[in-house]
Amino acid sequence: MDSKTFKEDFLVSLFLVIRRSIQLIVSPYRTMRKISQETDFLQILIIFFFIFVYFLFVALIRNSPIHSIVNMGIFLFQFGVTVLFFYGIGVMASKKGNFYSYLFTLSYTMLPTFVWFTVNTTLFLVFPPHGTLSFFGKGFNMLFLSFSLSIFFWKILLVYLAIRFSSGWSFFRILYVFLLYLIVLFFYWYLSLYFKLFLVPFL
Amino acid sequence: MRNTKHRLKEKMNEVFCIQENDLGIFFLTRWYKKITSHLKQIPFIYLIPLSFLCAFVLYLLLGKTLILLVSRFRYGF
Repeated sequence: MDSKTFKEDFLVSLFLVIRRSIQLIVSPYRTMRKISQETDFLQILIIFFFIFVYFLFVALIRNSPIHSIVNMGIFLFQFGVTVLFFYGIGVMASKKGNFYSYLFTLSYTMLPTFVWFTVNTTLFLVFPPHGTLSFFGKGFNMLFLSFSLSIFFWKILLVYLAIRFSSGWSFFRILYVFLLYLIVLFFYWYLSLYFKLFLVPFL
Repeated sequence: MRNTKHRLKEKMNEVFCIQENDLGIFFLTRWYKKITSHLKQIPFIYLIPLSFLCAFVLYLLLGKTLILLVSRFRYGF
């Protein structure tokens, strides 16, 4: 592949990532169906690159450059385990499954996480939290909670669609597997709090 | 004509790539379809009011604890 072709491919993939990110807000069902049939790996690299830029931004705020690489490593581990978890159960349950479908759809489910963390970090800089119980403090925290819940519900919707289109499972099977995943995630979260790694996992 | 046929076939494969969801009980399946049909297009129309409602209910239940908890979570990046 020469550099010109790579540039063109990269621009096309970048355009697709931006377009699909917007489409996941407007029509998540149709978009996730298309993503589940995707084969362009550059899109995953672009998504991961944006996440790495976010970690660089956080490292800049915390004044520790090593922080971004450690965070990216933790994120890649978490993401890899998540994909393998759902794919593994898919293969065990139905003896079939397309690994790439899980990889692409679950990569795009990182969009709500990315949005929440970016907005939270930006707000942290603009309005640092001081936990006051004044009228404005309460109002701001309630607004932030509503925003976080919206993003959380969107995330659940996207994860549900990702698993549904990758595995073809029915609603209840997805629910059971997701509950199992949440149990594993809870122990992981508890360990991360115990070792003071992070308060909210980037998942 | 051939192109149209090919595109139609592709579209049909795309639409029927997964089986229809059946929750086992008729009224559950009907409600599932009713709810999910609203979430397929611009889900935020429903998600944003639902989030405000949840936040309000949580505030009624937890009061000041919720505000302090949210402040704590703002350090979560």
